Parts: sequence; C-alpha cells; structure tokens
Amino acid sequence: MKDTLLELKDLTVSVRQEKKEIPIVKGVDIVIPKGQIVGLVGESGCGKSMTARSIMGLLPPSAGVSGQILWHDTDGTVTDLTGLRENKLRKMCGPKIGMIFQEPMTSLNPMMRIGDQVAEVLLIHKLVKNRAEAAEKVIRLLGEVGISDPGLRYRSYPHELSGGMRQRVMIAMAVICEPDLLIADEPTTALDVTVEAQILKLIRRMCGSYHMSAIMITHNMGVVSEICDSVYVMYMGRIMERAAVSQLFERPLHPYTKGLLSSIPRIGANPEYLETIPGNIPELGKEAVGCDFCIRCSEDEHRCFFEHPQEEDAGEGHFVSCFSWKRGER
Amino acid sequence: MKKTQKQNTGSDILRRILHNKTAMISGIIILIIIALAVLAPILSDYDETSQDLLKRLMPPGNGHIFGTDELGRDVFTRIFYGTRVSLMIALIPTALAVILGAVAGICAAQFRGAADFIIMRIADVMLAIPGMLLAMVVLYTLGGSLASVIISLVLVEWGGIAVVVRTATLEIRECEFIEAAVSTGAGRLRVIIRHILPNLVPTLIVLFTLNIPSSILSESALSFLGIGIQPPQVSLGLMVGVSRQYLFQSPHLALAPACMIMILVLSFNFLGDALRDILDPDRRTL
Repeated sequence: MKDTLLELKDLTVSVRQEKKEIPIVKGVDIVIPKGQIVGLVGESGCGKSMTARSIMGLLPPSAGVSGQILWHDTDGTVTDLTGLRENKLRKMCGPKIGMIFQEPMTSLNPMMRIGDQVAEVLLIHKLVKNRAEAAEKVIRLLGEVGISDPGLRYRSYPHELSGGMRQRVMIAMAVICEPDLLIADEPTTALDVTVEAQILKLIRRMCGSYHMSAIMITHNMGVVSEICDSVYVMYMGRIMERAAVSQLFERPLHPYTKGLLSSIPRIGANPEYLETIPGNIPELGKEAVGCDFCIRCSEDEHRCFFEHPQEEDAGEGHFVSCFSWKRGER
Repeated sequence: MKKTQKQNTGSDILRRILHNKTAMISGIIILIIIALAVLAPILSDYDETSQDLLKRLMPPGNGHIFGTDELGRDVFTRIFYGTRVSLMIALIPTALAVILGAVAGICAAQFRGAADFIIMRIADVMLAIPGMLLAMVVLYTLGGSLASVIISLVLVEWGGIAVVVRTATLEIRECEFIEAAVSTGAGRLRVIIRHILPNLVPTLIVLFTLNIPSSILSESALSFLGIGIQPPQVSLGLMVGVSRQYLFQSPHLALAPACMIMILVLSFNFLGDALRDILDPDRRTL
C-alpha cells in the first residue's frame, strides 16, 4: 500500500499481574493512511491508550507486546517498531511521531519554562544549532498554536497558564519537529467544551499544514464526528467495527457502536431519560469464549456465547465483527 | 482528586520565604551567627588558644564577657571559634550526605531491579546501626579529627536521605510530564537531569536543612565524649565536655557553649520546618 503511514498487524499487548498474563489488546489491526485522522473510540479501559502507547514504546515495564507495528517511511523503507532498540525508537519520537497527552495540568514539567520545554525537543534531536535558533523557532510555533504574545509567554511557567493554553503548548511540543504522525490520547477530555472545540480545530489545522496523520484516541463520539476521517471502535481490546466517519454515523452495524451513538445526549430528546449501554466492562483477564460483548448485547444470539465472530465486510470500506449485523441492518 | 500544580519557581519561593515569619527570624539568626563566626578574630581581643594561668576559671565580667576557662582562655572568644567548627560540621558533611544520598536514591529509583535492591539494602544496614555507634566506630578507627568527624557523619546520614530521595523520585517519574518528555525522544540521562532533578530540589533543600541540626548535635556529642574534635582545636561540644569537671564551681563554662548549640540547632530546625511548609504544596495553607 503506497499511501499507508503506519500499520498495526495483529498487535497484542498483555500485562503481567501477579504471575498472570492479562491481555489488554487482543490482536488489533489498524491502518493509518497518510494525511488522515483516524479515531480510536471505546470505553475507559478498552485498550485504546495501550494500543497508541505501544507505538511509541511507552508501555509500563510489565507489559509485553507481540505482533507488528510497521512504519512506512517517506523513502519507502518499512520498519517494525516492535523490534527496534530503545535508543532507535527514541530517535523517532519527536521527528517522526509526536504525542499529546490527556492531562495538560500534569504533562508539562512544573519547574521548566514552557518555551524551554518546547525548545528542548529541538535540542534533543539536534535540529537546531543553538538555543537562540531554537527559541526563535519555538516563539514562531507558539504563535501558530494560538498563544498570544508568544515572546513573553516563552518565559512563563506551566502554572501560570490555563488548561487550554497548556494543551496548546503540548501540541507545540508534539509538532515542533514536524512529525509524520501525531498521537492524541484524549487531548480534550480534561478541558471544558468551548476550549475543546478550539483545540480540535487547532489539531485539524496543524495536521493540514504539516501534512500529518493523526490517531485520535477518545471516548467521545462528538469529537470523532468533528475531526476524524475514519474510525475504529474498540471494545475489550478488540476492534468491533471500522468505517469512514460518515459511514459509521449513518449506518452503525455493531450493537456496541449503536449503543455508543445513542448514548450521546441530544437536545430535544426526552430529558428525563439518558440512553446507556447496560452493564459494565467485564473484569480484565476473564476471557469470554464467544463474543466479548455478548453479555451486554441487545441483539445476542445463542452462538454469540460460544463462537468468536470474525470480521466481515459490509461494503464501502465498512467492516464489522458481529454475527447479527445483517439482521440489525434490516 | 486533581493534583495541585507545584508552584516552585525561584521568585515564588523567595516571596513565600519573605512572608514566612519563622523562616525569616531563624534565617536572620543563622546569618548573624555565621557573621559572628567569620568575624571572630576581629570581634575579640583575645586568642582562642592563648592561656592566662593567673586568670583561671574567672566568672563573667572583668573584660571577659563569659569569663575564662580552666586554662584562663576567654570563653566568649572560644565560643565563636567553636561555632566555626560547628558550622563547618553543619554544612560540609550534611551537603556531602545529601549529594551521596541523592545520587544513590535517584539511581535506585531510576534503574530499579538489582541496583535498587543493592543500594537500598546497604542503606538499610546503615540505618539499622545506631548512628552514634557507627560514628564512634569510624572515629575510633580513623582517630579524632575534623576530617574523620566529617566522614563518620556522612556515613551516618546518607542512608536516610537516600530512602527519602528514592521515594520522591519514584513519585516524580510516575508523573505524566516524564512520559511526555520520553515521547519527545528524551533519553534516560536527560530525563534525570532536566526533569527529575529540578523537581527534587525542594525535597533536597528541606533534607539538607533538617539534617543540619542532627549533624551539629552528633559532632557535639562525639566531641563531648572525647573522640571527636581534639584539643587544641575548639568545638562547642568539646567545651561542654571539658567544663563538665567544673560544673559546680563555674557553671558558665558549660552553659555558654551549650546555649550556643541550642540556638544553632533550634534556628536550623525552625528554618527546615518552615522551608518544608513553604516548598511542599500539599502542606501549604493559602
């Protein structure tokens, strides 16, 4: 595939806990095309963050990864990131892959001026000759991510900035080396709604102007609809459904996706009643024989409990792992 | 619960110190004592070792503010020369112990595994032996002198500091900004120097000031016992120790240096406490 940037093939992540291997991500296949924003949606604890972290090698030491993470470089070479040595991978973090974290309050070093923190990235990868040149670049980028008076703000400490501003600084840190891929791990969850919209717009704009692809991890379907080109819906470490955004919103096939979509509060709907998916995510490590979702599913059949559904092509680039999707379509 | 953002930038800390009465008063007292110790030769007409055997064990007054000791030496002068030694003992071994403890603690927390185990078990062994006993063993083998007092105090103190630094480092490295730094390609050494160390500085400052009083007291005790500083060098503890024999005839001989020890220790203690309150965001009341 010529337009692919990153390919996760049968990625499995498991964590050792009390001498037991607990699988968190179970054989996930994801393709990130060049220049596209791909959403990864699911409830808390479904393995979406772990999937993204495994790309950058940011997993806890107790975690084990198998499968392939194939990076298609601009010169045509393909490297498997899981096999890379630690220092080689660190060299990619920054110039090739950037990451934004969920909590802007704690993801900046409280003892370091924000400008120095952004400049640090350039200095690590020796992309500038000296600090002065780095500062000049940083100030330009700080202005670009919407920080007013960047020359003055360069010398601010994180606690002097609001959450939205700090997230802008994080974005500047992630994109300063002009990476090919931006991983955003719930970048707007800790922000309030008006700021959320601004940050999403900013991410979209940065992706456009730097020709970046992005992985957008979120549990918010609204965020997906605003920013993503395609979506992967994850549940219990597996991909349940994947499609282009418009497809997924128009024609959700998996009962879990339908549940997620109907859980979005709508103005005008009955305000007394908020749709939910019944039940909770089962305990980690308790492996189901059949479909992981069967116990919470509203369309379950007998075989859902004994057989694992394979991914089926529903046409128009829409794939779903469910036995009853055809029946659900009607 | 949302974690409170630490606001430990330089100007911020200075402002809070200036607003804290305890810190200010104890700090000023310490500065005065340091000035007196440094300026001792100028402030006093007497020499700390010159004897005047005709004027032995004189009560305070008659040109000797605190009287004279059993060899007719001026006690007032000797206190300030003794304070010099005490301050040296307060600062040098404590600083060395903090550096050693910080390196050990950071290494243990950062490398975990075998390194962590070995470093922490050594620290545990050091902590398990009573400090005074350990210092006495070291001094007995090395002989009493300023250098061996310093070595023994470093050995006694680094273990406790390493334990605290290790815990603090473990807490810092779990912070998201460390992960963010790694995600921008920062290597291990860079993470330690640029991100962990600056965030440890408040902890290290507090550890330093809180360990100073115990250093002073240990030196005084060791000198009192006669195995620390040796005459003709002067030390506050040594002065108290020698004047023990004349306690009933001339109590001022023991009282004056003992008061000095008390003032020094209390000032550093109060300063340490105040700094801990100032630098620790969880204890701070706004």
